[in-house]
Amino acid sequence: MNIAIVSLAIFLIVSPAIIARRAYFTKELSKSFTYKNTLQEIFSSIFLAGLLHSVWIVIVEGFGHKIDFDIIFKLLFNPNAIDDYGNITDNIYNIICYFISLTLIATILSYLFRNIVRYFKLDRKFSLLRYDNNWYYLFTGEVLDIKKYSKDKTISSDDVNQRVVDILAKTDEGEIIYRGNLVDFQLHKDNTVEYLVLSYPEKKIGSKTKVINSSYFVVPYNGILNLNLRYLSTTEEKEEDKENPSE
Amino acid sequence: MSWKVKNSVLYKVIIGNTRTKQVSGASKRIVVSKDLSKKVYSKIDNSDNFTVKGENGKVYKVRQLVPAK
Repeated sequence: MNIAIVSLAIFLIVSPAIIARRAYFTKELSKSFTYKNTLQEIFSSIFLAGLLHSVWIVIVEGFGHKIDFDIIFKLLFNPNAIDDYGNITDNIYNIICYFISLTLIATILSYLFRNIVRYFKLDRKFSLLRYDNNWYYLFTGEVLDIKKYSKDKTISSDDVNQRVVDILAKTDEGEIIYRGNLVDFQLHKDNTVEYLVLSYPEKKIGSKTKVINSSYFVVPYNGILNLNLRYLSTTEEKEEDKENPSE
Repeated sequence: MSWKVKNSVLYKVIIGNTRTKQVSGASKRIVVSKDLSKKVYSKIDNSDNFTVKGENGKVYKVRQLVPAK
């Protein structure tokens, strides 16, 4: 019974941070969140939960509400010492409001913070803010913004319009090299690659090259031996460029 | 919605459409063309800068982005 009460109390206290973290790891970078298990997630969220509650308690007390720290500590460390739960049951609606408001505000701020980090490329500038999805950075060309990969300031991910990939794969026919335009990819929940989608791929077996007629060609990752990625910048040549080819 | 609103920083921060597009610009036409794709594949090993010409006469400049060491 005591363990259940302590677990419930910990989960309630940490839950605003877990939901806020979930909002931070959404969309293209959601795999950073999903590959962790619940226990890992609770541990990752403890520091954030402490921070959120500290700020929210100051705000709530500023509005004249009193937090009963005594009963909180007893709930967490020694539930047997609680003689009377009256303080909790009398203020149950206030407690619910506290948790709902904190979760809501933290989630909105976390989502906006995520968008700011991504929009201003802060995840590529500062390793502290970087997501665990290395494959995402590689396949999109965002690695060009990361100093560890590229110190060349003349090129960035904004220049990349197209990715051409050479894939060495092992099949029943032997080792085959596929070359194609990388149009999509799917990352696995454990942060690896599930498959790559190519358009108009060609396959090379030995010295023979053949274009595969397909709308989209899917290569499952488990058959891939290695990958060669090329980032391309393409522009349509305008009439003025043709007239002044030296420019 | 107007182009100005869609491209404002505030709109992008609120909506959060921050995924880098896999294919954009002139490449949208290259990746849907078998002919252009083949031409790109054949030239990509030999040069970092080259052009490919489509059946409609349009010319596309292609540059490989290789970070300077």
